[in-house]
Amino acid sequence: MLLKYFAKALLSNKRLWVLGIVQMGGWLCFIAAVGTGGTVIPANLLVPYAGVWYGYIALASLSTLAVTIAGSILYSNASLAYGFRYTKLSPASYLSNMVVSAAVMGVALSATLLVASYAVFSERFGTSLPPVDPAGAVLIAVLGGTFMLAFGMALALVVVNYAGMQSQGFLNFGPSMLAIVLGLSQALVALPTALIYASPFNAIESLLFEAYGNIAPHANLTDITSTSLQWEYLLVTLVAWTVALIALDSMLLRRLKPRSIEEARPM
Amino acid sequence: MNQVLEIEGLRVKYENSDEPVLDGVNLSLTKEKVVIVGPNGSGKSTLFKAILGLAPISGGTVKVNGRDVRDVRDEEGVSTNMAEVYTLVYLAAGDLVKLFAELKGSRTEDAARMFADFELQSIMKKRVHELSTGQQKMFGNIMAVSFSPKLVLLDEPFDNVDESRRRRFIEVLKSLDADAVIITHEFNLLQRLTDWSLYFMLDGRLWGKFSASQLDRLYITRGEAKDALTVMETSLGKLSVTLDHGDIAVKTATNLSALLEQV
Repeated sequence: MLLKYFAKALLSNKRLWVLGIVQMGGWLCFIAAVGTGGTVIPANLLVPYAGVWYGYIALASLSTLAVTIAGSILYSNASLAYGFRYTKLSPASYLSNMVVSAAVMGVALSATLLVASYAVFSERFGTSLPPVDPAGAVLIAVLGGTFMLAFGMALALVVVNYAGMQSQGFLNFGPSMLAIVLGLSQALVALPTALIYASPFNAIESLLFEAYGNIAPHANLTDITSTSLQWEYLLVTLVAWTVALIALDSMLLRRLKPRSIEEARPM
Repeated sequence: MNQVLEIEGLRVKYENSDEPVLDGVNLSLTKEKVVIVGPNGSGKSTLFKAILGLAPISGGTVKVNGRDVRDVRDEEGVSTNMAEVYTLVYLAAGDLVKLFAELKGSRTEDAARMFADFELQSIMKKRVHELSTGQQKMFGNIMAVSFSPKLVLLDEPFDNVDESRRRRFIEVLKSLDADAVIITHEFNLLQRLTDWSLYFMLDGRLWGKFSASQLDRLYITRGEAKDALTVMETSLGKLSVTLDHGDIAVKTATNLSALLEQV
């Protein structure tokens, strides 16, 4: 039962809760307060409107999972190399336990923000705006958490095995930067559909949006006249990226070349 | 019977370094306990890292139970006190004990009893980085000797450890039913481990073997003595290890650095 240790390590990580919930909750409140810019939103679009920002904030929150996992793998790379040789831990068991732990943490982050979004936007517009498909949102959070684990682990292992610890700075902001730039872009402007269909970040955001608002996502999530997207393709994109990255992680874990964390010192 | 540990011509060189840290190290171990004494920077910890698969081996071989260290899997009997191997997850010390007991296919009770014997139960709820340096060292020491090890690698096990715990841990080591290697820069430890084999490590090379029981009789002499037990080629020139006579008695120094300064 290694899972309980890996899951506990993520669920009890204060930094992750601060970055993923406290910080994102603050942004959610800010968006709710100033987000409409004075534009009156029709009553029938209030739930999808809340869904736009839930999708974006939950995506940004999930990206902190990738950052945390990447940092953790950098720090524990020597322990992993030792563990694969001199304990029962194998790359496959480590990876599978981390996948489940990240999925659990993904649900915890996403579900907390789902409740927060409901509370904040209901308060803002003075009417109850519950998510239409919370079970669907949980399912996407499972996939989103798994993708972020696979992505963060791949970045960390490339740094450890090939690029060297001096390159680790990217891991501190790369996943969140991608989530914010791609997520915020789709929330405000019409992105090219090819980009959205290719991007796992936009897939997570769009699918969470649909789960909350129960309308098909669009190239611009706040503009229902922009190109409509097929959720099936978005789901395939997310799953395909996740599977490919997990396969890459598995290969990189088997070829782990441990490095001293001291190499990561910037000065 | 396979030797537990067999090292031949080991060379370790890091990417950004001009010189190898270890060069031509040979060591084999079968039912034996060994102390390696060397000054700071001589390559002692790197030797352990190579055995544990944590250092880049650029030449020679390291075999554990007959298998090249690069191919070793599931050898739960090899353990160490090195702090970096206990950073697998960010959890309290007590959870790490349980996790490693599971990973080693062993029970938590033995380790828990030893933590209690060393009056260290209070550290179980703390994260390892929250412990004092001496507590961190004892945490690693106890993790290394728990879970039924077959080969124990102890890196400076007594640094910052108080005298009472030092004495008790030496008794644990003496009764340990496993091969063991201790690396240290202190000589006074050897007087308590007289039935252990002794090697010197200088400039990334290993010299020996001697017996720790010979400590009172060993001398270091500059140059190549006729009746030398070993002539060590070092950055200071050739140094001979001789028995019962020579320039400087090993027992007069507290550590190898001080001894080399005198020579």
